[in-house]
Amino acid sequence: MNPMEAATYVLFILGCLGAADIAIYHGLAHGIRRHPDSRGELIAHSLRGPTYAALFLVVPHVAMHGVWFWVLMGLLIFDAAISLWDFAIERTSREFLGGLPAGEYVLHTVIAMLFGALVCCVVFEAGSWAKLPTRLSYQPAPVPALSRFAQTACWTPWRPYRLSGQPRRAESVKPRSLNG
Amino acid sequence: MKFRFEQVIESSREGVFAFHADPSNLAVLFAGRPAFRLLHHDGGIRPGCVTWIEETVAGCAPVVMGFRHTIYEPPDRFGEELIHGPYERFVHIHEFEERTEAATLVRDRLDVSLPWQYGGEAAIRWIVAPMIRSTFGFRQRALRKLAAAGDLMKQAASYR
Repeated sequence: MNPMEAATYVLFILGCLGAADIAIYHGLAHGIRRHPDSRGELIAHSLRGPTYAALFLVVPHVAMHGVWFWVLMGLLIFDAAISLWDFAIERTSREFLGGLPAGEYVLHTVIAMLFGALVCCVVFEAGSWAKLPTRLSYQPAPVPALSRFAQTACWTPWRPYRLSGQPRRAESVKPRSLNG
Repeated sequence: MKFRFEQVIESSREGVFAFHADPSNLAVLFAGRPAFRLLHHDGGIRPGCVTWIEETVAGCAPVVMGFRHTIYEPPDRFGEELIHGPYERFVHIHEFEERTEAATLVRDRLDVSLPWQYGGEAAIRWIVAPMIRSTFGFRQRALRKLAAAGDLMKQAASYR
């Protein structure tokens, strides 16, 4: 049996919070896909897309033994690196738009904490996979089937879709700031 | 959806227009309304100039909107339209009609639409319209107070 019950639930919550972040702050509030200064941030988000698509696909469904366990760990490390890069460039990316909204800052902090929880869950629930012979097998996590398939069905196509998000220049001339 | 707001201000048409011609006066007009923030402006409202504002929705989502000024016919009217923001269309025309030498009818006409992904016409009717009415109610009260205190002319004179 796939032991990643807690990891699957944490990943599901992460997906919901990530979707809220995209819909409320990236889309409605700041419209970063139309903001040239946010190009770097969009590239970071686009890199995260396939990473999360893979996580949503494998964590609730697949047992990853041997080398595959380390591939999964590599995926988590890669996502952590993307997040750090995202945090580093967000300040300049959103400067013209009035800075990162307080609500988005709080949301990112919660998401980062949950990501830490996801890594812990994977290590504690499936750490023993590292010592097994290398093999991939379909083994659903012990969570309601509906939630497993909802995650996969909803998020897997959604995340790579964001790769197509290219920034569009809204302004050719940057207006003068009130602060000079 | 179209909106129309009117009020008579006890001030000359030239004075009222001059007050509106300085985009930094938006901060004066909305002082005391924390949901509003003036982010950037070009220092004028002639065609091509841009003004960027932020309006916080539901206390947690600061929606940034950029406007390009498109009409400038002093002292009759000026206008701007959205170049950045969640709306599909947001056109705002400001009109000024002389009632007497010391009284001006100020009329704001708005044409607003939202794309389907933000709820389209239904969201305009049930969510956006009350917010716009509240914002313009505040704006009208502020303008009336500034005119009554003589601050409208002072701000306008400092811009000239």
